[in-house]
Amino acid sequence: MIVKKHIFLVEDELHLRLTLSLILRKAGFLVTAAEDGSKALKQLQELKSRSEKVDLLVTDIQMPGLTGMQIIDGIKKMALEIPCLVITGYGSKDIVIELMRMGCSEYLDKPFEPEEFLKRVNIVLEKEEHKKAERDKQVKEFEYEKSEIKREVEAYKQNFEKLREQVDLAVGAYKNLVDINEESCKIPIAYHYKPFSELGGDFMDIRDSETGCDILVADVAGHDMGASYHAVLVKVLFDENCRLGCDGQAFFKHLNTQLIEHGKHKRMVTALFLRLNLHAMKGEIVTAGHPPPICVYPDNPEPELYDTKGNVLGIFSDAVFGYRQFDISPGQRFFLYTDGVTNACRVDGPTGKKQKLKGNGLDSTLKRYHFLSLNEVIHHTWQDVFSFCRYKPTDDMLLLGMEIPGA
Amino acid sequence: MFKIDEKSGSISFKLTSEMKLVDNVIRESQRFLKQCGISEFSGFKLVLRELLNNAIEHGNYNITERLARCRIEHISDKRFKITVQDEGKGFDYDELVMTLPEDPRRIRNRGYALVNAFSDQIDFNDRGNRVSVYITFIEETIYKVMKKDEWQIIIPSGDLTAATADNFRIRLIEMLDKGHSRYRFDFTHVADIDSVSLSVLIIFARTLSSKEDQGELEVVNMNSDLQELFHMTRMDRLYNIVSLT
Repeated sequence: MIVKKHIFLVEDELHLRLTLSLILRKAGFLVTAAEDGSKALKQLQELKSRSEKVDLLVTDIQMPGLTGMQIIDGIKKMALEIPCLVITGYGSKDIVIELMRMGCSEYLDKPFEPEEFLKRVNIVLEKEEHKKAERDKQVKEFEYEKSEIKREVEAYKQNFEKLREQVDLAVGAYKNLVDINEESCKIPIAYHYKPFSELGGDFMDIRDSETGCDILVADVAGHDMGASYHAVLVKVLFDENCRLGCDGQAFFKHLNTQLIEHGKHKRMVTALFLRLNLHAMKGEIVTAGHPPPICVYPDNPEPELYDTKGNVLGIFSDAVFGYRQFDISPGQRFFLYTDGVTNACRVDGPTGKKQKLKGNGLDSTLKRYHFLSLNEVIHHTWQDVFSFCRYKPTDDMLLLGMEIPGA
Repeated sequence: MFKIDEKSGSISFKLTSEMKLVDNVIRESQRFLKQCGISEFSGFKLVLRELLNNAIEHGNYNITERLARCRIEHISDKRFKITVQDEGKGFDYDELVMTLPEDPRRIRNRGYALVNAFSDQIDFNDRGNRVSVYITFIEETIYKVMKKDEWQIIIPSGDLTAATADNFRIRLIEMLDKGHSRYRFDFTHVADIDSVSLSVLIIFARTLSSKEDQGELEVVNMNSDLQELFHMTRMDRLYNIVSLT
């Protein structure tokens, strides 16, 4: 069924109103006619409330009561969008310009022939059809683009979730890698670590041996998945070494070769190996470019550095490592850490100067908590380091403390 | 009410406790920062908005007539101090949590942790109704290269860290590809080198020695901490450390 176009006619002259209505009805239009502006607006409001569409407004410009322009204005205020054809009495240029400015689609000078009138009506309606088709096309295109974007976002979201799951797995794996069961070792230990991002390159492990334990702390350059991968390599080789029982020097030589061969993207690794013999009460350290361990005796709060120099791992095939042997005694404590701790830094607000914790800072913190239990020393020191850098670490951080039993 | 008082080197605002005025402060501050030569504004904006929101919402309890005062001082080249004061009774700032939640998907309880993350230092007055925040705009390290006789002289503009290591590596490889064999690193502006950048320097030295028989590497103007680092990692075997003074 073809829906008839609905035309709203406002004309004060009875004769003209009836003639135009007849012409339009004959041409197949549905016509509503009003004799003045205020009646017209009232009727239009009623039509609007019944959701009845008006396709065209044909109005005289000069009428008693509201003028054509005022009607157009009223329609706009009602938030109705109706194209309009205005019948003008004088064809004055000013009025035409004003009409066009108001968004009037066409005008017709009186007097006119019925054919000319119908022609204009059809032109306006066609223009409107065309505009509507354009709009529909744009809406369709917009809808299409919107659904495309939605699909893309959905895909990204899924990808992201998958990646997130993988990272979560890796984070869990890294945590397992570094976590130690503090109860399971022959000597009391306490530790804290915090990777800079979720995954880190700091690594520690401790293994009981026949006579005591072997401890390893290592720091792979970087704090990404690649660094964690290297940490896994270090762990595997440490496990193997504990099984074989080789000494620290042999272990680092082997570790160095393996890191050079298997670490596709070269990464510097620093490490510290500590072997404690609780039978002979002897200790030994092997170092590869790693910060020195700090030793504290129960009767002396002054920390002592066990300094040895050695080359870093994973770079030079002819690397040489530092070595040192020493006696150990009950109650003696060792603190091992990565350089993230001593490099903890902050910017002083007023001066803008960068301040670093450094070895001295760590020493004095340890000294301050000397009288506390090992767990408490580690806990408080860790808190102090974090508060020093204003809770903004710039690197992976690891701090491990241990105490020679028997005190 | 919204009042601005602008002097050379500082801008002050006085405003009633209306959230919509916060945008005015942000807009005017951005203009002020632009005058001071700062164009990247996002971290600063975040801090400023957080402080003002806190002052209006938690300090002044959204009571319109209560005033919030804000002052932004240009302390030095890339450094600024923001002070925000409200007319509230203050709060116990020792209880603040400055660490961001472990789970990045959590969005609540970030206020001061975010301010902390984007600033150098946060100070409160005793009462806790005035907060001062120091902010430094960090510039990315750039690598200036000059030629002198046979030497390529590389001058980094700041610290060598993981964040800038990729650029550093790329610049060095470019120079290697051009067949240069003598490199002098001028560390006048370098206070810190992290392990990632150290690895770049090591790999560069090894690559050079495998490509060029006449390769020479020097470091000048290096601070004592870095000299110690080079010594500890035996980097001083690869790089000749020269004291020019």
